[in-house]
Amino acid sequence: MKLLAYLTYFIMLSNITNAQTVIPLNNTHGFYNAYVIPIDDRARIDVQLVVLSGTYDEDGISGIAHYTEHLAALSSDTKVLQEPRQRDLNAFTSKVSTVYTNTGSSKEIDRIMLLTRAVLETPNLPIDFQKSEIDIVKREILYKERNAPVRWLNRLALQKLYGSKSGRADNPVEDLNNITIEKAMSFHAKHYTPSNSILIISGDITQSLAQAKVTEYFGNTLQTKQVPDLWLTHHPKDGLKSRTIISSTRILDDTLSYAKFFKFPEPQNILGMQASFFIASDIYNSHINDTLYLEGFTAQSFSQSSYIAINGDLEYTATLIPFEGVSLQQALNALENAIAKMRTKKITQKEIKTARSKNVAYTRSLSQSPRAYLDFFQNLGSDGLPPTSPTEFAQMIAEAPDTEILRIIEAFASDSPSAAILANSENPK
Amino acid sequence: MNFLGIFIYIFISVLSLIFIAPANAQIKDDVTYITEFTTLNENMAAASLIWALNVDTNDQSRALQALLSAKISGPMGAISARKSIDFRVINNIDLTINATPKHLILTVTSPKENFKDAIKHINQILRNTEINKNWLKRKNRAYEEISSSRLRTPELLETELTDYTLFSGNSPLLNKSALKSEILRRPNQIIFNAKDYNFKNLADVLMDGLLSYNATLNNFPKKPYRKLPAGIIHSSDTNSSETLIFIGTIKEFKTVREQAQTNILYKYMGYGPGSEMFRIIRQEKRASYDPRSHFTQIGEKLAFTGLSATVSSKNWHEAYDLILKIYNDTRAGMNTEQGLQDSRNSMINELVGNLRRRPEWLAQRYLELHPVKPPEQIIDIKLLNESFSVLPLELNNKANEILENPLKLISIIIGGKINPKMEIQHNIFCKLPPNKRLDYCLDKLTSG
Repeated sequence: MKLLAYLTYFIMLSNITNAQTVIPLNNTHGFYNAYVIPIDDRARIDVQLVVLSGTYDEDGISGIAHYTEHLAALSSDTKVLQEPRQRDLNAFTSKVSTVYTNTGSSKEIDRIMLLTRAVLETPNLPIDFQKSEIDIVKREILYKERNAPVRWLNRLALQKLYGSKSGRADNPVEDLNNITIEKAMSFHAKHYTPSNSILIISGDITQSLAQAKVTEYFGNTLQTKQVPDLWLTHHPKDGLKSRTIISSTRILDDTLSYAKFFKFPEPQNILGMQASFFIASDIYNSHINDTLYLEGFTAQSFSQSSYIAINGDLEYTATLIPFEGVSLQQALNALENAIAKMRTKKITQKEIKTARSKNVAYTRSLSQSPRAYLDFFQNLGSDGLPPTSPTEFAQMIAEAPDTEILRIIEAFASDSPSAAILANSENPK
Repeated sequence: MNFLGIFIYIFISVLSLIFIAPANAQIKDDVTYITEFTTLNENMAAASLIWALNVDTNDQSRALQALLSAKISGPMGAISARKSIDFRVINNIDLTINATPKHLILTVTSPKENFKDAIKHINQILRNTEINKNWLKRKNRAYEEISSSRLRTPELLETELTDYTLFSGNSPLLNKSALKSEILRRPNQIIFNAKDYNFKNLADVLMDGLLSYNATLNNFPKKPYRKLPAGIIHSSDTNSSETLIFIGTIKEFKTVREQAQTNILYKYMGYGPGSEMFRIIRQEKRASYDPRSHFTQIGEKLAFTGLSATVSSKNWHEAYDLILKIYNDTRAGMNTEQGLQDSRNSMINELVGNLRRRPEWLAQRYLELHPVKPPEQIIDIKLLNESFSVLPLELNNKANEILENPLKLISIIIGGKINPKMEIQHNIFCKLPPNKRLDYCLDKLTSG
């Protein structure tokens, strides 16, 4: 073997290190909870405001959580900034929460806190602007669903599963025509309260400075009642097996969207279960993925997702584009068979060990991306749970008991309510 | 709502370089050149394996990528696909495939402590000669090209126009067996990247057992890139509620400084919430959710550039005029100092992010300069230093020269009704028939 040339080219870049501990603030004032996560050598501060309400809390007015997110973000912009170019904001609405992230250097902490505080204040924007923002939200939905029509199909599957359109609209663009500014202000007043929010400050900041800034900017807020998550009481009908066949030009390929609900008979310690849930879902995802995708050829592409709510309800969704020659019905049968097989499948110690290792590796990989860190922090926070640092979570993964992991897999595999959308593409190939 | 922005301020300097002069300038498949960079984040290491392949059609390029992807994803003898994937997840090993008309690139990235295992794993993959036929079917389908007129997204439009430019030939597709042999051999170049890491012997581990023979595609003639024509293409759809507008071109720069300057001006026009596109099209006119600019380097001193927005089909032509006005105003030098400064910072942040987290990006920039082998003296990626030295204040006076004359741009409209004023300009207007790719009109406009 000839290695003729060996060149070295040096470009020196500064480091990112990743030490971190989650510290609950002693005085949270009006907040449901508030935390600081100092991160060594991080040259910036991120403040995440997690409003504990999302699309599932829409009280029958489809799209209002998303629209309110826009108004609150733009209003805080207008109130605090002279130049929009100064802005570095990320805001998004999920099923259960709405998260605002403001970022800047340590010198900009006061501006970041002002922007965060302004999100909780009644949106104040010109009326015409507020009205026309509805069109922007419509365009955003069209844009996102054109890129990923699976968002729409998953919503339909969940709608069929729960028998509820709350946060699971047929046509969210059309529904936006029913929104008024008054309704959005009312949604804001009800949900955008400190007591229905948690604050996570991370990065280049000390505990004492974070506490001082929370007191300075939120010291006059008072504890009120948290908004109850009424959607937690919406459960699918026992024995439900909803199957819906549709045709659409919105998808390029035939697509199966599947949703399954499962729960534990008794209340659970969800915080303690999180690590077990991560490991258990990795194990059952892997089994099903092996059967349908990696080693079987039912799926051209396949993705799965699981969610555990704060009351222990578990929700599994899967999206599958069939492999060449496989019909949607065959794909659905194969998916259900794969789940059913999990009932008798013996899970080995080696599998559990592998799943633990994969989750630990995931937490370590977060150090490579500041954005991934923030997503990790707000992931648990979105359910009102205390965030954990990747380091702490790795420890929780290591300690999660096997019995609990197996119990979650058993619950997943049980014959529980499900809904499937079999969507045929009407697009010419 | 998603406002982007990464603020990382870091120090960059070119420190030193060491070289051994290579023997000759021809591609010789019994020689593998090794180059080492040190730009990645502290904990990470990467290796890019480069096969020199002259590919002049998009279909051929996609077939090669699909084949390599199937090789990576499928089983390897007794090792199942599951076992491979678990190994990669546990060790945080990431694999990416990139292709240009001259190279196929496989980049492996992992934390330093797992990098030796990652290299052994890649060697196992490369030595595996059997490619599972179902995996190949799956990957061929995954790599199929989707026309931007079907999904109406600016991202697909960018890919379609870039592919049209770069893959300008019509050579017949190699058969499967010939294709396989293109990537079963030793790579022609390897680029390592990590800070404070000893790569000693890793090239040997990487290439252990790989055969060395002349590749068919090495000898294929290289085709020059194809210029985009000027004019207007409209894929009309009277039933659509939304219309995608794109105005831009593939721009060849005289110097890398001009490239950096152009990048800043495009960021000024359409990058982030402070940009002109966002401020005017979205916030003032409430016309679009996704107004933005495009600037993607696709070759040496060559970039895809443009402005795009998805707007209501009812009055798309008003938004079109506005986008053109934004372009002309920026070109006329009517730009704020602060805005230009912020846009320069955005460009630098992007550059630094690429250097720290995207080894495949740096590999491509290097290969544009040294496609066959490393230079005999200095590797000097001038783009880095030139990007840092551009001063925002110098841009307003030069914007008129830096940005292309608007008459030389291509406008692409997907959706909505045809504007009669545009249609009568026969020599520069092309109506795209349903289910046709953009090539149809691009060829037509090019031939005049």
